[in-house]
Amino acid sequence: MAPPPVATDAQSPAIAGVLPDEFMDSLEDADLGGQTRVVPPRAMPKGDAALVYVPVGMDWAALGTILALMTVGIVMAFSASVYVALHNFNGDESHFLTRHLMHAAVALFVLIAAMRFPYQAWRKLAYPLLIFAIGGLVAVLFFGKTVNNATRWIIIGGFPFQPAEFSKIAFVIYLAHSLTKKISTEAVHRFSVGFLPHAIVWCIAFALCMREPDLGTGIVLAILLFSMCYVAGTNMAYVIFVGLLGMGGLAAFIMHNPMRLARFVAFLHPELYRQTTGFQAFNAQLAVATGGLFGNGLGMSRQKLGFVPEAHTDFILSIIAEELGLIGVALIGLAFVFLMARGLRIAMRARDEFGRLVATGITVLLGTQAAVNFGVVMGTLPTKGLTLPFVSHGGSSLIVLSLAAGVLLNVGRGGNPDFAWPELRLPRLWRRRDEEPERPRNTRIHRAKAKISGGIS
Amino acid sequence: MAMRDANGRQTSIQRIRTRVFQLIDRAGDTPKARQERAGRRVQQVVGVLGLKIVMAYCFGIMLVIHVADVRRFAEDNWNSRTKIETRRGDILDRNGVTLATSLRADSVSVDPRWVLPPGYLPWRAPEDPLPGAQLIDEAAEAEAVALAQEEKKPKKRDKSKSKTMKFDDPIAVQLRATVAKRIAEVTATPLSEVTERLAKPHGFTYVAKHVDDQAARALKSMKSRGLLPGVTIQPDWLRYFPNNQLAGALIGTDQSTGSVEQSFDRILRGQVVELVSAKDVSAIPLYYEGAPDPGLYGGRSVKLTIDEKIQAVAEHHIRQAVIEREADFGIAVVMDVQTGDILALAETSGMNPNDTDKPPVPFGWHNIAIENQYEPGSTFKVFTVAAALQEKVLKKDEIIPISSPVVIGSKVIKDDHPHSQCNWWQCLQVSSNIAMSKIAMRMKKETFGDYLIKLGFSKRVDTGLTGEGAGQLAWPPDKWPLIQYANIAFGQGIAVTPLQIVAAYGTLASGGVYRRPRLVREVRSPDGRHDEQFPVDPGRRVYDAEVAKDTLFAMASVCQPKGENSLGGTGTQARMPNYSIGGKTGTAQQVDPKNGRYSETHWVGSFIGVTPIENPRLVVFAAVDNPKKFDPKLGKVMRYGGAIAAPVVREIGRFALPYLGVPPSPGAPYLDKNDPEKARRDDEARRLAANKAADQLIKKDAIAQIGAQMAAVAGASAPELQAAAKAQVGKPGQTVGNAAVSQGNMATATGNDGQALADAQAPHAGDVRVPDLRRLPMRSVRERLHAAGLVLEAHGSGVGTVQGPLPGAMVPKGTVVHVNFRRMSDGTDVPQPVALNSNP
Repeated sequence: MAPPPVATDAQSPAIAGVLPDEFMDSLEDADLGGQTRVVPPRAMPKGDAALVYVPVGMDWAALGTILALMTVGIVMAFSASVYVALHNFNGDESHFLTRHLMHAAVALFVLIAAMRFPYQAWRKLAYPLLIFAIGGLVAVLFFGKTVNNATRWIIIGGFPFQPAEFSKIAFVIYLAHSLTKKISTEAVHRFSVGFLPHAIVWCIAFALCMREPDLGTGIVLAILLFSMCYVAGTNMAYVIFVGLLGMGGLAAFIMHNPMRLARFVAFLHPELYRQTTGFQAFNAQLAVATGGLFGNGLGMSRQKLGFVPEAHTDFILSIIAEELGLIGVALIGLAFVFLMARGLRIAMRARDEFGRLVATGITVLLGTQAAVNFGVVMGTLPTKGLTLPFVSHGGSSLIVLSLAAGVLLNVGRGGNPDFAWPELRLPRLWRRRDEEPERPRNTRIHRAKAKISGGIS
Repeated sequence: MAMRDANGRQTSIQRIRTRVFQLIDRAGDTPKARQERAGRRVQQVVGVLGLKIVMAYCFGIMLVIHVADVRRFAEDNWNSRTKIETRRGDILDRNGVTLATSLRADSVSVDPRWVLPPGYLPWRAPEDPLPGAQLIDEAAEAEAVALAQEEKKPKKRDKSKSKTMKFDDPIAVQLRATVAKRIAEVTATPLSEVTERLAKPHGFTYVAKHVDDQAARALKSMKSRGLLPGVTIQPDWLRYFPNNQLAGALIGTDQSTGSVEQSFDRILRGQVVELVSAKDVSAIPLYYEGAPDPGLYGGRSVKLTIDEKIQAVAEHHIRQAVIEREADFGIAVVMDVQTGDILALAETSGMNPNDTDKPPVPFGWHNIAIENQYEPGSTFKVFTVAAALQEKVLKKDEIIPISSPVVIGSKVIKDDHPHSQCNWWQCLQVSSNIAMSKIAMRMKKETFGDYLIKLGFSKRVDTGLTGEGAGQLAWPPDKWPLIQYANIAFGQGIAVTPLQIVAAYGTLASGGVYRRPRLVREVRSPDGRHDEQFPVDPGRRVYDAEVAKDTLFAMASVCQPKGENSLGGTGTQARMPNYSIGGKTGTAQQVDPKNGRYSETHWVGSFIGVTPIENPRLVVFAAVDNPKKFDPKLGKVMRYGGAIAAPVVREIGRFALPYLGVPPSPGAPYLDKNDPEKARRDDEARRLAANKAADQLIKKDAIAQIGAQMAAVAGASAPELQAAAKAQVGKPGQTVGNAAVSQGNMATATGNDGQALADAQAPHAGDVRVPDLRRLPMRSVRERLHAAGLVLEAHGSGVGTVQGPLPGAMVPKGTVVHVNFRRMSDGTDVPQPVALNSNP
């Protein structure tokens, strides 16, 4: 078989320098005369189909991590909510547990459904979802239910729902879709094309969030905007400039309102304001401190007796720290870091730009929520109303984040609706001599070979 | 992808643009490179987030490392520390009868400012700090400012924020009226009083002190339902003296000097126990973890040497004497010779510690029996005789001429009852001042002074009671002028306290050994670990046994009537049936505090008896201060101790000796020597009779109390009602004391059916049914019995366990109902199941 003519691009010095090593390896591989089909660069599909990385397939580890976090959440939210349930719900100590289990059942269903739903189809739903989310944020201003001085809930058919939670995933899908379009037109670098429209959408969402008020969601949306634009390739200069502007605006925003300023000052010195503004933060840190390395034991928290407000939702990590100690917190943190690593892997090996951006957005969404929650509980960030994904009690958050996780896993599977159940392989304790696998001589080439063949076929 | 021309080459402009993009973004290359770069960006973003988690975790590690800094706050959060005042100890008599006890009776206090509807705070002027809240930091101030700003915009007003209400808001006024009505109804306090207390915005005020259990329960249940905002029900104790006036001044209150309550306050007072409890954010204690048993930290009980019945008898008779002689006051002391125990310490002020509204007359809140010191007069002569016998300056065969007065300087010593001569014991029998001064002159002043010191004069007896008198004795004796020495020899020019002279008589009675009188037998602690015994004083020898015996012989002669070899003693009225007695009368002039001279009108008539004289058991002291009753037969005021105090000693001895089971004296009148069996039976009968008499006496006082209380309630005159009560008691077939107990025994024997037995007995008209008092705290028992017109005799303290007469029995009004109480280990009045067939 005669090798096809080599494309001029490959010899162009301007481009050759930036060709990936794997590609060069593939040429070497061809020279070796192996069984691998050598693909000339000319024959490489262009556009989205040009990807070389193989989708990771069904990420069972990530799914397992999510389910484990949800299980921990059910146990710990029950433990942390007993006091509130006893006091506010006529002594029904399992009030929150039953609701949490119902939410978890729905969330599991949503997760599996989203996992089987080809993610490319979300592109068609991007704008309807965005309009729906914005509409929800507007509706909550008129029909919302006020709890703790914030109007965040809207009652649909007897079930409370937070449009702000939904707006996060809608914003991720919208951004991914929009940025993919801009990338394909190569205008994503431009401020007016790559950044401004998204920033305007964010401004609308942010303004609506602040009416509730819900600064946390607004900031999460901002982080999504910046990180996804950055990943999509928007010029960093704009991003940094606008980011600095936004931080100045935020500072002015905090300084303007004495109550917000008081809260910020309390964040800096919670022990001085432990009776008033810093009550929540101080007591959360007290819980972490007294929990120690190994914790007081499951169910043995004292700070959950009303001292840590929202102990079962936003501040559940403090109760975990008190009951299970820093060891338990470390396991939770490792679970999130692992989840993010898997998300990163899915994003890097996504089949197309949209998939990569969606996966990035969802990973950032989960990571931001987890990081901010950790920071708030440990006292490195001021108090925000953000849940710990999959762990905190709260139906909207759990279901929406499960949907996001489902989409992420589907991206990992390359949009494939079906998946094979993993083979159950028991580890072999010994190996017969004749079964010993051949060690590849040239690992680098071997890997490239495998990737190329896998990527094309 | 960079743009290319038709030949596939980049134009120069395009090439520049590509370079620019490469510089800016390294764009314009293959999708794969782009994908790689995008992947690196994803790595960066996710890495930053992961780093944030790690950073936060490091903060968590720092928090755990510095946990010691915040441990204090955590403790404050988790633990509520309540200080509770535990129960004050009881005061018991030598047989364990309760003389003073503490009953659980909660008090109700209210903060009128906080009587507001739920969710409201008291309104405050902007510059005043909120009562009960501490606004100390700027952050809170800022929040308050923000709140104030929000309040200006009514539509933004948040319902969840607490609102304020002024004190004179119509709603608050109405609520206060409702709360006042509820409290008044439950606690049976006049509504006007409660309303008045609630009318002013002061911080804290009691509306009802010591409410009963039922009311406290009702109030607590109302409070838990939120019907009593601003009201606090505080645990409190009510000090209760079951016998009212009996030993009133001795038991006293914690404000009266010379009282057991005040003197042993440190022993009686319960420790303040700090209960540590887990609490939640609203500071409600959740459970007590390893809490100390408050019952074990209660005050210790003081067991006195006082015998309730002897005390009652002594008080009764000394009071009778004081009334009869129109005296200022009287004191009676009974001491057990063998142990030095004070069996009775009676005085006549009639102090009732249950009724502390107005101080008793004439001395206010003082125990005059302890504080009083007086010139003993002739009762002191026995010590002169004893000292002279001991010093062998008084010969038993000599005759002392006492016909002519002794003249020392300008002073003349003479006798009231002149005689020509006397021997060594007759000088005491006729109470001759002349003989005493002559005998005393034979001794050195220092020698005599030493005897007085050895007998404990001029030194506090130290019974442990506050305000005890020490007496007065000029010192040193060699500086005494002769006339003072002669005066001291017959008991003038020296001041003693009743306890001192009783102890000194006890020295003679116990064969010359001085024993310090004992008032407290033991102190018992609730946990039994801090018990304290006060042993009998081993004593110190002052006189030889022979000397003491001779002196007793001389004292016995004082009570001998005129006859062969007897000149006729001054204390013949002290003689009593069956028991021999010896003693000494005393009629002493007292110094008028106005001019420092002996008063012509202020005398103290006293008698100190030792009985029975062969084997002394009791020293009985009685003194009547300043008798003013004009005796028309004598034509003057009768003030001789032999006439006014000796009968008191006789009556006390007559009761106390059989009561204590002392065998009758061999040589005494009325004793049937021929039939020992009959004598023994008589002995037993006398003992029972004495017991019954004492019960009657205590009951009579109780009737007076009931009468007074009924009068106070009904507005009728007390004597009428007392007469009515007496009429009720006087009925035949009544059951008191032992009779009641025996009835209980019968009921047990006939199959534990007290009801049937009670029904079988024909009830008299006006009889009352005995309520079931078992498992009830003493306070309720007392109230129920008072309501039924019955008298409580409490044994022990705590919850009623056994009672007699049995519940359901029909008894006359005024009957004494005996109830045994047992205290629960935690000091509360928690009822425990009691076997119904317990033997009372």
